[in-house]
Amino acid sequence: MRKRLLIPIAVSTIVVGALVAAAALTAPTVTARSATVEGRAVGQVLMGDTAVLELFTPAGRSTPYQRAQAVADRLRTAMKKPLRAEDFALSATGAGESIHTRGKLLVSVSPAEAAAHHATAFSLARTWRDQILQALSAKGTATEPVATKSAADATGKPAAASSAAPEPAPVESKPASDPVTGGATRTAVDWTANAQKWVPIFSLETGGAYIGAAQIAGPKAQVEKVKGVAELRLDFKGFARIYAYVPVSTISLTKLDRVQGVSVWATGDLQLVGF
Amino acid sequence: MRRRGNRIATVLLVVLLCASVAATAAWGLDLGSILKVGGIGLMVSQFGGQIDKFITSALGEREAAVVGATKVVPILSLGQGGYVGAAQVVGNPDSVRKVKAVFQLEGSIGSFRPRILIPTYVDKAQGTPERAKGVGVSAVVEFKI
Repeated sequence: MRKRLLIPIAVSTIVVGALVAAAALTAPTVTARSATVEGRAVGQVLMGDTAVLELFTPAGRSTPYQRAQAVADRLRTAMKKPLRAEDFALSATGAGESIHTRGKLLVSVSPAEAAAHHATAFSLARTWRDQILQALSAKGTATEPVATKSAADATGKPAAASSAAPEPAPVESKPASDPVTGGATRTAVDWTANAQKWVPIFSLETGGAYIGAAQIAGPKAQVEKVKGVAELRLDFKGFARIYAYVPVSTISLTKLDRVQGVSVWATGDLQLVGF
Repeated sequence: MRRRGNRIATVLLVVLLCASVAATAAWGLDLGSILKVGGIGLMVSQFGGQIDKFITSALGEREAAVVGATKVVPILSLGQGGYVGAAQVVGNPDSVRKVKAVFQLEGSIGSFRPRILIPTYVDKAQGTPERAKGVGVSAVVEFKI
């Protein structure tokens, strides 16, 4: 009887252990560390190996490192439930900006903090939020600090060289990379400025190939990159239709180089070839 | 005076009735169609997040998805028969969050096929539907009504 019970207990323990291990592996660990940037002691918040935000200025009696520890604590608490993009909110607080997760304060961006990053409070808050979301999406894959670089990108000035390490010994940092593009140089996209334009569209369908023009919309910086739109359309005997628009930055038949964040408003096309 | 008012009301009612019958006949709407539109709309609202993740992974909209620039909403297409389904909208994150539905108007002039996609939100202050600027459509799955 006891032996019979032992087997399900052992199996349950293994399953629970595996689930806990899987959860630990998929969620990036949030830590804080001190670092030295341009001879200044700063506090960094890391998700996995990625520094998602960097604090230059003290607040009240808290040093930048202590502030980073407080932010890391808040982020860990918020991550007890899965975080999505809509859980983050930016709000103006006096002359500064703050990031909230599900209505609770995560971090404040003072005008002094923004000035230290050569950015506005709003652009710095947005950069930090985006980097946290990217780290959450990348699930702790190894990437390097991007906070200073992104903030500098917003003003067009070069990023400051930084050195960082767990408290207390500092070490040299590696070049910045983008977790989304898999190591390519990160470019700060202004996702708020809207733009639209007309580009050629090439459509491949069950009935043939079509060519025409499409009006695209999206963030200005992204819209400028688009050279055309590829459309794939499947029609299931008039019962259902599936179609997708892929705005591309190069006109090529072999490679679809998708431009992120851009979509289609209107199209007009003519049949080129019938199948 | 009162008789004249009654006559106008009667004429208006008849016109409305004729229009609704004509619309029903033209689009072939019946109880089944209405249930289909409502059911698909409800399913898309309920499982929009999961559909969005699927389309994002299939089409590689990863960066946009990360910054909250994608969302799945119900779509209603008119012009080449009626269709209802799910559409992934993409664009400015602040505008994307507001979008509630997409309306598509399709036409055919000879072999030329024009299509207009209208991502729509409701202006809370005025209570009127408005076109969401900086937002368009990335992918659509829809079924004939």
